[in-house]
Amino acid sequence: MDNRKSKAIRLKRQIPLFVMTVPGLIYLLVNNYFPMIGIFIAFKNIDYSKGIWASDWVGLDNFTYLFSTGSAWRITRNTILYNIAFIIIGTIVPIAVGIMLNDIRGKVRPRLYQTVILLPYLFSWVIISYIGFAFMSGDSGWLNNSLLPALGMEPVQWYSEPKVWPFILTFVNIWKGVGYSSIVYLASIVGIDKSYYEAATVEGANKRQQICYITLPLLKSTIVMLTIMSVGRIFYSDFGLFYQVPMNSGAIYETTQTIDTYVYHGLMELNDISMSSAASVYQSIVGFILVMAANILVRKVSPDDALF
Amino acid sequence: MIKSKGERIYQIAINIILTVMCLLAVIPIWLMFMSSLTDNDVLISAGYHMFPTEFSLEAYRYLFAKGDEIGRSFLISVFITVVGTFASIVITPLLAYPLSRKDFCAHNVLSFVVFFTMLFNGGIVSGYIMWTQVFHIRNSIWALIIPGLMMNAFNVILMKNYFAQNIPPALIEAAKIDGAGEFYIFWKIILPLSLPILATVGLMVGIGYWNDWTNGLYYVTKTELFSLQNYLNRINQNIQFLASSTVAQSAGAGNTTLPSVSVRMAIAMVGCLPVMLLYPFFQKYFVKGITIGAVKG
Amino acid sequence: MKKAITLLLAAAMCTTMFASCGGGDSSSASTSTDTGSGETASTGSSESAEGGESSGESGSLKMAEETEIVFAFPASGMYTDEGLQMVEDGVNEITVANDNVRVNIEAIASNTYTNQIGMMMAGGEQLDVFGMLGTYSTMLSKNQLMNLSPYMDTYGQGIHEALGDEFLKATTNQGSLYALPNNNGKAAVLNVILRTDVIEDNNISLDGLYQASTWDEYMEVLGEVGNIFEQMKAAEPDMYCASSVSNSMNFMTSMPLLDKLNDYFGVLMDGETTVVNYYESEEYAQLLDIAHDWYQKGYIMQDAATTTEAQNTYIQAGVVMGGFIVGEEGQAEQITNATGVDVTCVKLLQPTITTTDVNGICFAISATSENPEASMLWLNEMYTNPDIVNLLDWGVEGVHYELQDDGTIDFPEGVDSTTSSYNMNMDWFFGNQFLSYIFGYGRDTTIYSRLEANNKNANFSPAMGFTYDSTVVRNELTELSNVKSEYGPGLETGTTDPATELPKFIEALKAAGIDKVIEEKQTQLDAWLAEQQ
Repeated sequence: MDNRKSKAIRLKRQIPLFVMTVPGLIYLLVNNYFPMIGIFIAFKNIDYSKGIWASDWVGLDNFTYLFSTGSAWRITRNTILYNIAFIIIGTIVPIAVGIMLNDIRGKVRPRLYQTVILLPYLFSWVIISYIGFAFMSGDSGWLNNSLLPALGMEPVQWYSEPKVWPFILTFVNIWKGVGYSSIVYLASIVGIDKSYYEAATVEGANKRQQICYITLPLLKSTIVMLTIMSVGRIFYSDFGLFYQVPMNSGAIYETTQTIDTYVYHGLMELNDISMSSAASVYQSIVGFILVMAANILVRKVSPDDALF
Repeated sequence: MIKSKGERIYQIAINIILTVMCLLAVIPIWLMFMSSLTDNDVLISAGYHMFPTEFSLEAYRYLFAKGDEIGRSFLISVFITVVGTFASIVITPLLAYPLSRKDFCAHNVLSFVVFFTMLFNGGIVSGYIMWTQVFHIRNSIWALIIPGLMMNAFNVILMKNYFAQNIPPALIEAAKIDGAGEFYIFWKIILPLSLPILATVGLMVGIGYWNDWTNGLYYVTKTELFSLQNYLNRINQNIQFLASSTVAQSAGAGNTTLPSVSVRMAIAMVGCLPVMLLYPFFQKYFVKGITIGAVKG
Repeated sequence: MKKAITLLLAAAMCTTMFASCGGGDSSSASTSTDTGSGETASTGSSESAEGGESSGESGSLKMAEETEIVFAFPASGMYTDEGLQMVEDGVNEITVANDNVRVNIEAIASNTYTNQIGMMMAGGEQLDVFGMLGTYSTMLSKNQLMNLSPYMDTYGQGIHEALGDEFLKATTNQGSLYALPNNNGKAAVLNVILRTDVIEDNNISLDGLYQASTWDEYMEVLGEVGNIFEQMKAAEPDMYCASSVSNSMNFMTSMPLLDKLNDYFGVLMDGETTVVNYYESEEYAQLLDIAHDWYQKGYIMQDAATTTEAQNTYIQAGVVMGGFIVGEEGQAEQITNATGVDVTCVKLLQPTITTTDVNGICFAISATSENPEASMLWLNEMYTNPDIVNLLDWGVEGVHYELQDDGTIDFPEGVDSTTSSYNMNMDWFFGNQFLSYIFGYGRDTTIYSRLEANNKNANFSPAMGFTYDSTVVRNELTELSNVKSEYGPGLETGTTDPATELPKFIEALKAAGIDKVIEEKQTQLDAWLAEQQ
């Protein structure tokens, strides 16, 4: 009796917290959950004269092309490998930059560095692909007509050279994103209680020790969180990065084609919304399974850092 | 302040590294800027150079001739960015804060509800049908503000994590003992302590709004409602479309005069200039940060 | 708590499901102006005057009540609301008087156009008439197009006269008409483009060029083009002779008597009716050798396999002094106009008109339309009324263009391509191009009569009118189109060596299932041929 009463009181106390979540949840419900009904399109063969609701169900027919074709292995491999590289490098570099930005002394310089590093984040992929072309074009690119000759090297046909693209794409991705992600980490670092560092300095800890024993442990949950979120999107790839930046050059598909670009390109002429919707369902389900697994793992090792 | 030798070396090292990174960021943009100032024919024939081989303001003149339209779309962009970012900065922490409270009974369930939206999406078709048929936002300013951009799970989780990390639970407990209500705590204690993350998320959402053209592409056909990016992208998209459609080409569309490479580069410069100029004002929140020590419970 | 949330979600989802289901009905109810549509739609194919009545003097039909329709097209030009509104007002002035039809013009961004049409139809938005760019066969197989046959004779008489029987075959499936090809020069063939000044300054003779009609002639002509390129390159070593179009050389994809059957995966050659693998043919290999030879000799631009710039950009910048283009009469004039570089174009092939040449651009009534009669009347205007055509093509006279003394039109005083509020520039698209003015002072105004003559005199492919349904081989096509873009650009611009790459290409196509596609095409073609007997 008493127990139930206190539970009721506790619940009543939490009403304001529930109220706070209402606007956000309504938005998610409308913007994200309602359209999820559209997932059923992946299991239908759309016939516009019947309307999408009345079209015939075709089971998993729309999914077969993702597995049966010769490219299936290549696009899956590329997508996963790039994502793994992005998760690792995309964690280390921004943290390092975030720490440096936090430590830098002076009035003007910190602002200058931050602003400038963020600049690439402001450009769309289309623009970046133009810039990339300005550098790497075989005929008119800056690398081939200025830099390489100055270094006494032969011109390179960048857009037909599959070997270099894993490096180019990783570099471009980090280049564009580092400004923003380092600020995400910087926000956490700035939020760290200064007294920790003061105490450490008093006790004679050097910079490296401060980073290893104060900064990184306090960033751990941010890192874990961002990693879990990336794991959920491991079957996705940034369409702009993989399609626009390599200019959809066929000769380098071996190392640039991912699930998203394959689906986009393959369906451009067929224009089959069921098949593209099937691809996204497939990506989501794999991501979902991986995230659940990752979260369970984290929950076991360090319960506080679990996402949910 | 006394500087140790190690500290001085460290400062020099990070200055060098950051300078190199800044150069890597600036050089491509410089090349782009210079391309926009180069005569287009020379650009195509002589290639891209770090300094214009033949200086020309033609690209900017082309954009200036469309000054009225660009001016109006600029105002639209400013409006949606301000309104959208403001709305986002209100609803995102309101959702994120309760999720960060370990004593909130639904925090796990709701976190999952939020995170789930990052994994699954219903695709553009069902979203389009809902926004146009149920909410009728087609060709209204709301079409540029509401769908997709206002709040996303990533930002909610980012903020939730920040609250959980940087706000000592003892602080909240102390306030409660003093008789403060949840909303009071949120408004007077939590938010002032969270300026860095608010600024981060605000910046990301703001850039998202500023750069977005997909909403305009799907939901807006009235040119008077085009945002700057919509307007500029229309030029670029038409180029790509005409260059890739073989049907249009053999029918004669291939011979249409299209805006040149230098115009496209100028468009990119015009599109991102306002953000570049405004960013330093945002920035003080990251640099100064806050001193939690002063308010520690 | 968990339960409550699940319930809430489930309830919410059901609500939207119903809401969006109902969306279709409510939207058609909310467009108040088309109250008459229910009536007219129900008349169906009957020629009764319930939906239309004879207006006497001109002998044309009219809707009984004013009917509002939505007409969508992919807008690839620049315009403002104001300009588009002026065009719409101009159009409605005519159509309301003539047909009692009010047309709502929806200009949709060109690169998401097909997507958007699908979403409008799926969402139950009103959509009556729309144009298509190369999507006829996929839209047909998705049942997006309404059967026009019942309305054609009554409401579309003028269209039939303008187009003739032959072209309408390209959009006829199993005896029913599903779309209307636009009326323009269909006999487009391979042209070589050459800079006039380089030709004249070096006294290079073009006498060896003619329109080939057999494979051997084609080889001879291309050999002659090679000679010309050699002389040009010797005279201007700093320039290339040709760039690419869509990362391929147009001479690779053209051939006498070739019918690409929509996508090149299984084609008809030499006027036969056996579907063969184009990429495995002797002829394709020979063309690849020519391309590779030209690339190595520096005739073809280095970036040809990857560039996304238009050929004209390179001509204008003086990077190339020629190239290839598939087109009809008047190419030289158009390119010269667009680039400011004086060029000469010579046709290299006799035209063979195929289904895809004809239905590349066409207009249809949406399967979801409730106003087929009014839609047909609007289409009829677009194929027969020069005022409508010119409004859509060039805007309003006196505002967007002015008639010149030589019969052409051009911008009025103080207006140019950047300031015009309607610079759509899509005369190649809307309805009947032959009714349109020619834009650009000083241009040749006799061109349309030549185009019409060419349309009549051209050869037709034996499969003219055949459209295949790709639904059963869509998995194969997805993979094939990827294989083609992996190997195609390199090979077809001569960048890669066919000796090593072509066998890989063929093997990859086989692995992707090209044989299955060919077999499927053959089956469908045989059935179609039997039906034609």
